Amino acid sequence: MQKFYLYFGTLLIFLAAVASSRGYSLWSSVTTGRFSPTGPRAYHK
Amino acid sequence: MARFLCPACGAEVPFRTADGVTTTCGSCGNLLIRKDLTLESLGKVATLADDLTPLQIGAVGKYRGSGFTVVGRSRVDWAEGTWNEWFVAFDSGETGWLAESQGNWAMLKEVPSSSAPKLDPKALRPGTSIAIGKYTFEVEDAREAWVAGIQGELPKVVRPGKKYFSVDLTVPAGEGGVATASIGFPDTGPEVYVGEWVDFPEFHFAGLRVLDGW
Amino acid sequence: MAGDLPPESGAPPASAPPPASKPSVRVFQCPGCGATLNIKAVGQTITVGCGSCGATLDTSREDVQLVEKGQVLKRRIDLPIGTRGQFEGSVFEILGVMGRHDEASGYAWKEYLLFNPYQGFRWLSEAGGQWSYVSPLKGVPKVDDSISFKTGMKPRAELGGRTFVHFQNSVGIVDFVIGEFYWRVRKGDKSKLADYVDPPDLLSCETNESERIWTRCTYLTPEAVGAAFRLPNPLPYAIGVAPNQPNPYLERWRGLRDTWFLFTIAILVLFVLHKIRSPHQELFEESLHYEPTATAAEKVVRLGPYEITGNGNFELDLHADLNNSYFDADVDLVNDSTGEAHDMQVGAEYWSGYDSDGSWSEGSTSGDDLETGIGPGTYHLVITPSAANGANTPTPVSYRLKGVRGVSVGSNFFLAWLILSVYPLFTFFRSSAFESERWSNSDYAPSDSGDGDDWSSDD
Repeated sequence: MQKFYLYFGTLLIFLAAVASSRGYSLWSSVTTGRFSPTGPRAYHK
Repeated sequence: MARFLCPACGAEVPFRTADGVTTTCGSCGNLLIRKDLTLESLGKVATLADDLTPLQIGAVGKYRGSGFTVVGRSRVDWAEGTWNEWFVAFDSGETGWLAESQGNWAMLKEVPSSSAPKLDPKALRPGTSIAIGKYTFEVEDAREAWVAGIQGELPKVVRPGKKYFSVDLTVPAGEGGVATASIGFPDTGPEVYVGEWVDFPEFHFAGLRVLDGW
Repeated sequence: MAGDLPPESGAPPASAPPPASKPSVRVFQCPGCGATLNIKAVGQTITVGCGSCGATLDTSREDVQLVEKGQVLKRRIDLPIGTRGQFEGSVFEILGVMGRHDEASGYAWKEYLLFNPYQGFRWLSEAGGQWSYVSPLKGVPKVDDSISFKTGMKPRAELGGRTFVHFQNSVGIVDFVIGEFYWRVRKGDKSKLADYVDPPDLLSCETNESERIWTRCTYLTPEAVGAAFRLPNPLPYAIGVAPNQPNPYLERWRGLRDTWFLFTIAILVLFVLHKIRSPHQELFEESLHYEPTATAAEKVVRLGPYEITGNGNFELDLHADLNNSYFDADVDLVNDSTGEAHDMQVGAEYWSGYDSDGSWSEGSTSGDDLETGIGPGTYHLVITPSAANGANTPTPVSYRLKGVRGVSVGSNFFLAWLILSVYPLFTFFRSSAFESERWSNSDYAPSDSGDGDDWSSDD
């Protein structure tokens, strides 16, 4: 059980660090409902 | 080893220790007392009732590296129970006492009564502290006791049934390990014994009684 | 070896091996009911409780004396007399069972006397399905009676470098005796008991007029007792928490707490590093105004061009002068180099008023939006705002828009930390709840009932 917590925690922290370094915010995604970048799409205006 | 002849039946009666004063004749069961170079018979003694003690006279053991032989036994009763005191002879010539009480074993040696300060039996109650030598002991039990029966060689003349005050003491663990002491107050004056508790297997006994079913 | 010595007086002949001693079982008839009883620990047993009629007998002399008549009540005896079990590498036999209860609370327990001729006597103490293996203590612990309610310091006993904390004082009264006992005991006998705990051990000091005895009681599960005696049926379940029962959550909590602490440090360090490395480059901060009466084309705001050099996110921060109104803007972030656009949306609403309870407000005058995956290039923004009041009538709104690229995202770390704190916190509470239940039965229970649960005798 302890080992599981250790592995899980290390993974979670690693994921958090990677997400932040990419500029990604889980919290922001949850509040806006957008989980992936909306672009890029071709711009026609 | 001193060898004598029993005045009652003529059988050979050895004395293993220099301290030994009385012994029972193996052939006729008379209680014999050593007086200089002869033995005097004090009459027959009742054989000690069989009990479940694993020890018997003749068994040999080791204590702190020294070998010893069990040469005598005194069975002591008090109002609420009983215990055995085994007289042992070390290979070195020293003697000691092995106390067997409710399956607990302690090896004790007599020390001069002067090593304990003024001993007043009335003041020794459970919890009281007294100093013996370099240790401070606490009284665990204090009660009236008497010898119920004897067997083999003993260092003093014992009168079965004669009541005397007996005190058992221990040292708080952590200060001197598991030291224990015993003080008897017979008519002849206080006798002080100091020693320690030992687990039965540490004696490495040989020649024990074989107990059926155990 | 015995074979090397000349014959000693009273010793068996040296040449032949000592003959096996018959167990010298002492057989006699109960003076109360005539039932045939026997004594196995010959020479030691001085009290016998007759299992047939409940009488207490004195067997210290040749003739057995009836001390007290008794009655036989239906009792649950988990370990019948004569049962043998393995403890500390030796075989012990149950000689007798004694039932006692605490004078003040009525809490009852049973003590089973174990015997081995070479090891001596031990006990198994049982209450509410909880067991302890009891052995005599050699040496006396050092007792410190000082007590402080302020610091929560309780009296303690020290032995072998361990500290045992005082748990309770009680007065034990004998209810019944069945089988053999090596001291004089009868129904109604009282003795003072003081218990000190350091799970899985408990030190008990029993005092009466003539003696004081210290024993060490080590916790045993019903399964362990059943295994020691190879019982065919399992023993009753353990109820509640015993004073010396080890806390199964304590080890786990300690391990988790240490790991959690490491995690907290790691998260802090990584967060600080992340913050330092985040460019947090402000591209613009513009004060703008939305006029509902303007044409559709006039309402659209174009900002830029802005140069973005690295990969990362882009954040829009909005502050609007709202007064019971809302503001929304669709923002296209267009990469002029690639022709690709990112859709963003930023808005806010703020309402306030005054009613019978006083002034109230709802919402916020600021809002933000975050977009990820913004690559290097030249960008411009196309902003399409709208604003209205509570009646949905478009109203003019002044607002400030700020654009920052490469903002730090601390929330990921915080979320990870929150998630990782759940399990250790949960374990801590379980461990604490266990200890609370343990101490609820002590002299230090916070409730005013004093002794916690009232364990009634099962007789």
